[in-house]
Parts: sequence; C-alpha cells; structure tokens
Amino acid sequence: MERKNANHQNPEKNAGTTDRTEKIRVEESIMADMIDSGKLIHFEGRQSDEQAILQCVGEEAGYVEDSGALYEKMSVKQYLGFFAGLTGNHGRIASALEQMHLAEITGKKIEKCTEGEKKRIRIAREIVRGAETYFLVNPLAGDDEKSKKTILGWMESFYEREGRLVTLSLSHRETCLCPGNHYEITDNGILCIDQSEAPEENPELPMVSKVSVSYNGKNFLFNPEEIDYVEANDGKVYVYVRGEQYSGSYKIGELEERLVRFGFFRCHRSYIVNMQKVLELIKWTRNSYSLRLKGYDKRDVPLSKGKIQELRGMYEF
Amino acid sequence: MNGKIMYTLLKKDIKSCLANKNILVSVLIPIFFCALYRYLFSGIGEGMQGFVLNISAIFAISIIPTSILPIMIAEEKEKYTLRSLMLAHVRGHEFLTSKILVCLGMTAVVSTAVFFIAGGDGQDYFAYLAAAMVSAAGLCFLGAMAGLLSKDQASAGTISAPLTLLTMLPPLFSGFNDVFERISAVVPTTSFQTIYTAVQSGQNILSGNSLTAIIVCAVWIAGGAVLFDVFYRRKGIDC
Repeated sequence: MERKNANHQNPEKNAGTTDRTEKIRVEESIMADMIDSGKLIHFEGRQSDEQAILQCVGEEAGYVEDSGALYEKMSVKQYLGFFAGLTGNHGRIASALEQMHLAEITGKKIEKCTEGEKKRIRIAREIVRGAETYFLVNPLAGDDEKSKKTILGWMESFYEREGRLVTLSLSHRETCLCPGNHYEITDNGILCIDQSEAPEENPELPMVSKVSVSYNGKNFLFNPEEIDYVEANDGKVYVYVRGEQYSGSYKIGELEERLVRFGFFRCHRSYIVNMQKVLELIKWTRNSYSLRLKGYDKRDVPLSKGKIQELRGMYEF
Repeated sequence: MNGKIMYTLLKKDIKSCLANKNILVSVLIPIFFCALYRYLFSGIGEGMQGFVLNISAIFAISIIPTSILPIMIAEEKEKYTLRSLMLAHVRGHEFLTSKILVCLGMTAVVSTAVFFIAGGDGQDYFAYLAAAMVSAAGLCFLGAMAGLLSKDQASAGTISAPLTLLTMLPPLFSGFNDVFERISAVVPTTSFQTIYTAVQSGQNILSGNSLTAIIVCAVWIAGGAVLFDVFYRRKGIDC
C-alpha cells in the first residue's frame, strides 16, 4: 500500500474516466432514491460526478457551483438585485443576506470578496431565486471559517423547513462535517459512509501496543501515542503520524478497540482521534463540532452529532 | 420574450460594457481615428470631410458587431455566468437579443460621435444613422454566431479579427477595380457607404445602387437571422 498525501483534496478524484461515468449512469436511479430518502444528503466523489447528481436533483434545484459564475465587477447587492430582477423576487434579498450573513458586505465588489464569501454569495443567489431544493458543490472547501460556520448553520435549518439539500464534496473530511446522511461515490457504486462496519474476521487479535502501517511498500510500527488520528476512507484505513498519512490493513473498529485504552476517541464513524493531540474544539453550529489537532492547521477532524454528548460527559465542556 | 428579464439583462449588459476596458478601447478606436484624420486632413480640402466620415463610420459599423459582440457573449461562457443565467430561466434568445441591442446602441452612439467630429451635415444625420443601423444589424448575426462558436474571450478575438477585416476592407478597396467593386457590393458596410453617398447627393435612395444596397442589408439581416436560428437550434448557446 502506498502513502497518500495528507491533504484530502486528492487530485485523482478530479480525473473522471469514461468507465466511471458509465457506472455512475447506472447508479443514477439508486442515487435518485437516496436523494428522495432524506433531507440532507452528502456525497463524496469526483468533480465528474457533478452532472449525474445534477440530473437527479432536477433542473429546478438551486445549483451552487464550486467556483466562477459570478459577475465580479458587481457589488454583492447589485448581484443579488440582478437575479431578483430576473425572477421578480426582490423581497427575498433581505432574507438571503441575513441567512448567508452578507449584510456587512453588501457594498463590497465581488472581485474583492474571499472565496468563502463568494460561496455564500452563490448560495444567496439561489435563495433569491426561490429554490427549495439545493445542490452545492464543495460547500465547505477553503479556509474561511466564518463561511464554513454560516453554511453549516444554514444546512442545519433544512431539518426544520421544506426542501432538500444535496452536496458533493471532493474531500472525505468535508463530507463528514456536513449534517445529514453521508455517501461515497466509488468506482464500485455508491457506499454509505455511515453504514455499520462489517463483523470482525479475527476477533482474537494479539494485544500488542504497536500499530503496523505501510508507506511505499515498507512496513512501520508506531507506538499508539505517536498516532494523531485514524481515518477510514475509500474502504481503507489511514493512520496519521506527524502530518503524514500511512495505510493500515485494519478495520477501523479493530483499531478503535486497540487504541481506546491509549486515550483515543471514536469521534465519527470514519475517525478515531488521539485526544492528547486535540488542541481545540471548533463549534460550527449548535450541533456541529470538529476537533483541531496540533500540527494539522485548518484540517479539522469531524465530530459527529451523536458523539458530542459522549465527549461532553468525558471532558465536561 | 419576458419584458422584465429583458430590462434586467439590458441594464446589466450596458453597465458591464461600460466597466470593460477592452470594450471601451474598441469602441473608442473609430472616434480616435476620426479625430486624428480630421486633424491630419484638415488642410487638404472639403471632400476629405466626407472621406473621414465614411471611413470612421465603416470602422464603427464593422468593429462593434463583429468584434465586441463575440467578446460579450464569450465572456459569459468563459466565466460560467451564462449557466447561472440559464438556471435563472433566462432563454437563449433573450440573452442574445440583449447583447445585440446593446451593440446596436453602442454603434449608434459611436456613429453619432464620428458624424459630428467629422463635421457631417446635420440635415443628413437621421438618414446617416438609419443607414448605419441597418448595416450594423446585418453584421450582428455574424458576430453572434462568432460568439457562440467561441469558448472564451481569447478564441473570440481569434475568430472575430478576420471577420472585422472582411467587413471593414471591402468598401475601402471597392474603388480599386471592378472585381473589388462587385465583391464589396454584397457587404453591408459598402451598403452603408452607398446609401449615405446617395443621401448626401440628394438622390432617391429607393432606386438604383441605393435600392440594391438596401436589399443587400435586408438579405443579410434575414439570412443572418435564419442561419443563426439554425445554428442555435443545432448547437445551443453553450457550445
């Protein structure tokens, strides 16, 4: 197994293949059923999967692109006013500005806005258009924490209102941060990220304290306390040590059992974190948190909604 | 066509043209050359006034529809703003009509400016403007097709440069020999020259060469509209 770059924005995911596109077409009906089954559906996949999802959500859905598609010379207010003029929905501008926390920058030229602000402007445009169902591409990409927090808060509002939200993220971490159901689009079909793990094949594992991982075909043994966190993605388990990513041939449940006595915490279906390495608990919304680790600036580990209470009980925050 | 959408698009297109430096420079070229020629030829004789007005108006009529219009369309495709417009229920023909109207408006403004800079006779102004508009309208469909073919502003520049030359040069070289004259007679910019010359000399524009020139423009407008419609139906707006 090979070590992958610790950055989760895997460039391979951008390179769609014809075979994969064909496969996705076959999966479209399954995807449509998944989208119909919930209010907040999040897919992890490649840029090339965008078209298939777009077809499933329908033409009337508010489509929020990953980049571009903005009149950069306009101010935020002019841009939203323009789309309000096209649709006759001038009354929605104030609500869109409020929902996306854009009231402070209405006079700012779009070309001067940060990428995070631009993401919020695109969502505001679709709110002004009057969309009920939304499809967002890479909604949490970038480093703008205020925008992430605003968008996550807006996502949560779908639990209490009409309509549906579908997202496609290239990053596993960002997919897991979104509130709702998480799926991964792979070459072999669409997998539920949150699904229960397969039963253990060999329950009688020896109680060793070293964790074996591989990098470039070589095997390494790490002490548990050296490990920062563990991630399950693409059907594999990755172990992070000092910012580097190593592959392991374990199931995440097995590793959890072995690491829990060393102060590790299963903070998400796909993540186990070494609590000794946690520097900060980031609160995005009332029910959405992530954990920031030493040496992993801006690459937070998701903390699932169901684990917040457990962590609160353990660390009394 | 939805009036509310057209009004909003027109407002946006006018503002974005005024904010685009490339477009502003292209628009100012005929005005700049008109002022320059007026200055350079000021001492030569009275006949030069008509020549300066003719050449400057031909610049305006050929540059704006065949060069600026493709850039305006290609810019929306390049920046993916066209897609966001389509998702906001803007139809292809509304999008293009707005761009064409803005181009015709710019042609009218620039043609008016060169008319007065070159010292045109105020009595002929409305006939001059009508001739310029009819010629420019014939070329707008050509420019719109170039815009649809272009992926981005750079490719729009590549496609539109020969178009601009092909529409600008025939009337300028029509006097060289009979072959040039016959070829140039089927280009709308030559039609403008023919109609305006007839107006200046007090001839009936509904007879002789002027009538032919009007028919040429009408054929370009009708043919351009039909060709454009076929092209649009087969390729779509985002080709």
